[in-house]
Amino acid sequence: MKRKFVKRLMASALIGSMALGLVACSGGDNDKETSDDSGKIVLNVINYHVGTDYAADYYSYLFEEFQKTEAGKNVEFNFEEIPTTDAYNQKIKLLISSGDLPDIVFNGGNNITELAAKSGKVADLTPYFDEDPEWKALFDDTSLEFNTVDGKIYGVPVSKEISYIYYNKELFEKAGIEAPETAFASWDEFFEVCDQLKAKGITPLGMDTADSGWLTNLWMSALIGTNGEAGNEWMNTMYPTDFNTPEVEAAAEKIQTMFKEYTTADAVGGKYDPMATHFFNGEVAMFPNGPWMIPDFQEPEKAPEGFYDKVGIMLMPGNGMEMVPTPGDMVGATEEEKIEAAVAFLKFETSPENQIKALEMTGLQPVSNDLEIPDTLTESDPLMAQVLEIQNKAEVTYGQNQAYWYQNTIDTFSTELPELAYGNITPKEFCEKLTESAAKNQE
Amino acid sequence: MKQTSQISIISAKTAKYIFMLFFSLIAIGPIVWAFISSFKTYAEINSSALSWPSSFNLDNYKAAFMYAPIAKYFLNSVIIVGTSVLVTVTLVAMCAYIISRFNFKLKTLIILLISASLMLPAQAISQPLFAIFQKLGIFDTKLGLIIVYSAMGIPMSFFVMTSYYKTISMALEESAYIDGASFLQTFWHIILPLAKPGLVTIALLQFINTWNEFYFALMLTSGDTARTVPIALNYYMGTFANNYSALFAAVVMTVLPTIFVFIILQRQVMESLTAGAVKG
Amino acid sequence: MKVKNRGVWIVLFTMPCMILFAIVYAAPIITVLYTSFCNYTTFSGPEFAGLKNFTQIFGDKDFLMSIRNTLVWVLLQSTFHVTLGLVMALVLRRKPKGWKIVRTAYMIPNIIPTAATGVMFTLLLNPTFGVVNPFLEAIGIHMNQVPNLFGNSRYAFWTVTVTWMLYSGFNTIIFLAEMGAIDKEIYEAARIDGARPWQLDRYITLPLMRNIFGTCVTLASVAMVSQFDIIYMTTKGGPGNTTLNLPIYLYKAATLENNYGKANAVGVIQIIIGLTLVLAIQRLFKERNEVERRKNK
Repeated sequence: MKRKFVKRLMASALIGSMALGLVACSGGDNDKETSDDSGKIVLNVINYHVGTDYAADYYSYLFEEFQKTEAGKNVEFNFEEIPTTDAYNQKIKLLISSGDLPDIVFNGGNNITELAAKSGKVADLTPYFDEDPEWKALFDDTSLEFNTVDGKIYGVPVSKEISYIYYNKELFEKAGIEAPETAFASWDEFFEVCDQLKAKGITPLGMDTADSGWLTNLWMSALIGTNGEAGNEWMNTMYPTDFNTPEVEAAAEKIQTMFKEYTTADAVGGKYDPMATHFFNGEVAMFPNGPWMIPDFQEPEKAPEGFYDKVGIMLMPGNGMEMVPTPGDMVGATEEEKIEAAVAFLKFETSPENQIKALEMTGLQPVSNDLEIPDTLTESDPLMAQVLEIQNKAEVTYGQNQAYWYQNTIDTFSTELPELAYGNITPKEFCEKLTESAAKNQE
Repeated sequence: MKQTSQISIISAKTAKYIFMLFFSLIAIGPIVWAFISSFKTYAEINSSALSWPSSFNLDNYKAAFMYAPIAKYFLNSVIIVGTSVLVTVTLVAMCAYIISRFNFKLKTLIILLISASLMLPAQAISQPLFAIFQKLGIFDTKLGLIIVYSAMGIPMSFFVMTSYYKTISMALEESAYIDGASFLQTFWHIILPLAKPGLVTIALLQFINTWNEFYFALMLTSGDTARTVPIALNYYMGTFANNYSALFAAVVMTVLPTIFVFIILQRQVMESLTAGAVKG
Repeated sequence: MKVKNRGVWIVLFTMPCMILFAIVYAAPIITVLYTSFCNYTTFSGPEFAGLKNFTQIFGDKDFLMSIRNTLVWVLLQSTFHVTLGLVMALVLRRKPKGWKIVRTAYMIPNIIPTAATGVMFTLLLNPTFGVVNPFLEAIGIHMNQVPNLFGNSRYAFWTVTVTWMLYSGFNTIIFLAEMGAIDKEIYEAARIDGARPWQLDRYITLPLMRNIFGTCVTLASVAMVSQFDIIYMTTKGGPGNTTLNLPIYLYKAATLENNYGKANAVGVIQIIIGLTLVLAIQRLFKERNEVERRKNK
């Protein structure tokens, strides 16, 4: 008798605690402070521009300055710091699925815009753009379209991403090659130069596969994006699902050759950092990347002294340049007062002055097209000035996989690249794997 | 005859020391390497794994303090991990004792549930837990993490402890009961002292397991009040700027105290060990 | 054993542990089981969809590969790795010179954060500036193409395995504690009877380790079924799918495909495999423990 009682007690306690878990599961909104004692508006922000992030200094400047403006003097920030975009994105996804988003949602990529919009946890910013035509005019249609889901604008793009080729002037000279003014006319010419460099014992290209295979991605995007109209259109398509087109397969074949012939031994399986160091140390001649790398050339920790002066800039063969709008920052606040304060911050962040400031401090390219660049930049940072100039000469522009492909397909790209590089799979099979991977998102 | 046995003893001894030396080297190697690398520059780390640093300056150690509130996180880690070790050891000491001594109907269910939890993916746990913790008001508190870590430690400690209790002879308990001792008295005065090496062992394992936990520490906190050392380490890894030398400096600074704690705890194990050790 | 109020003590002693356990694990276990039968993504709540997720994963050869790799790792870990820990414990048990240092040193790899371990191994094994080339040269092998250990699918699986396989300090600690519990009089008696040192180990220590060996094998297997961090830090399951295991596959389904339903279906398979292993190992190492021995009397 007693035994039975005990068992029942145990069972009900167990079930009880489980039920507690379930009940708690169904709810989930916490009470946030609207304003503190002094009547200020408190905005919750999760900031990933901290630690060694390239834009850490710029963002701390931005938050401070905003509170000095008319719109921002009543705003108090409540920060949560999450170092690295990887960790940040994980947390944001958790918040999208089971919590509340911060009042200002910085965009760490990863297709966050679409997920957040579909969850209904971010504010539709279209009315705020319509209300302020002057602000809206700062952005071109592509940039806004990129941040639009189902006809509503959710993100405010703060910059543009571009990339091209950095080359080592000294190594070119050593191999007796004259670098082109803007770009090699064709990929054939480009590969000829690679052969010449190789003949002089110079490794021509920087490539990688680990993390997301960033450098290889830039080469491959260029190979596709400059390959006629069909290729260019494909490389400007959001979420492509068919990778077995002639252009993509041809690019994969070239990539395979580049791994075999023109790059360092540690490129396969390698991460970005050692590859960048190869370039800094003059061990590879050409390196694809964007303007945010320029400050590194002068960083004594990273590059040898005087390296900045050895670097030249050119577009991809055929005058091609990667250019994508960035996924914009969003507003997760729900109260009118807070939404307005958050929008005010985003307006401040995208003001022409701060776009220039961001360019100077971080190398982030202005999202607006016709900003006046101060002359001082040409003197203080001639490479950056050259970047601003050369991008107008691009005849074709195209996207890159991190902006346009499905998350899991980028991952497949990175894990299958070594197989392609070692010839364990053919270029065609490589593309089939990408197609299969993209299809998983349709299921 | 005598000579050959002497030779075999000597060669067995040599083999033993080579074995010990080899495994100590591969175990210490990485941390020694991290220590040396913590003085290197970005360029040195990314271009030569084996070279000596060009100079032994302490910049990286300064940088390690600059980026992250590492001292505060360290203190949080000590409080959170320390408490969770106490909680786990106490609860498991009790629960595992029952499981090792008695047969009852729900016993198999308990074992199965505990085993299943070992295989639960962290991501699947984080979602419901996030909601529960907000409801209970323990999101972003040390208490929240203590609860998770204590629970996380249960399965492993449970297995080790159940097995340890089984090595303790039941004769002692039985004679105690015959002498009229109560269950609690027997457990407290006879079992626990004998179980001490086992308890210290699970404390050690629990300490090591939770000290480096990153995922829940990130998901279930939002500010500095409850963040722990593994999160501080993430401050040195950026998208285009991995500051490995500062990372290694931070690793060295956080690992050294850990090793001290470990040595102290281990002395406890050793004391209890002397009882059963032999000269060979 | 005759104990007064047996049932009450059972409840009082197991309840606190089970309650804490339930707070953290009850909801997740139920959620995982239920949503594995659902369409469930980052931005949409669970909707019942029958066996869809399961048919989907079993039709994916990457998933089958991840099961295969998981099982191979379980097998290696529960045999070689645990035995290594046992051998180390047997060596240290006799307190040879320097044993304290060795015991602490051997445990250090388990204290270093995985994030740092991952970075260390990738840098150390870099083919252009890592340790591989000097090592090969030292043992007299000259190669034009230094093997890329993490990047080449021919070596990646074994390279990843080595990052944890040799570090068995965990098991050593557990075995040492268990050995400490052996009554030293047994050894004395055996030695007086003329037993050699190795005979002491063979006929006294090892048989007594049977139970804890089973526990270590269980823990090692379970750890391998849920092994994630170091693989994520070094290869992310690649090249191709050569180092893909269940947790990595699950992680990719959840974070890269945003498909929580599918991820939880993988989780269910992971739990089933794990539980099967736990039960099988317990059966294999089942010792007639004292409870039963007394019953049989």
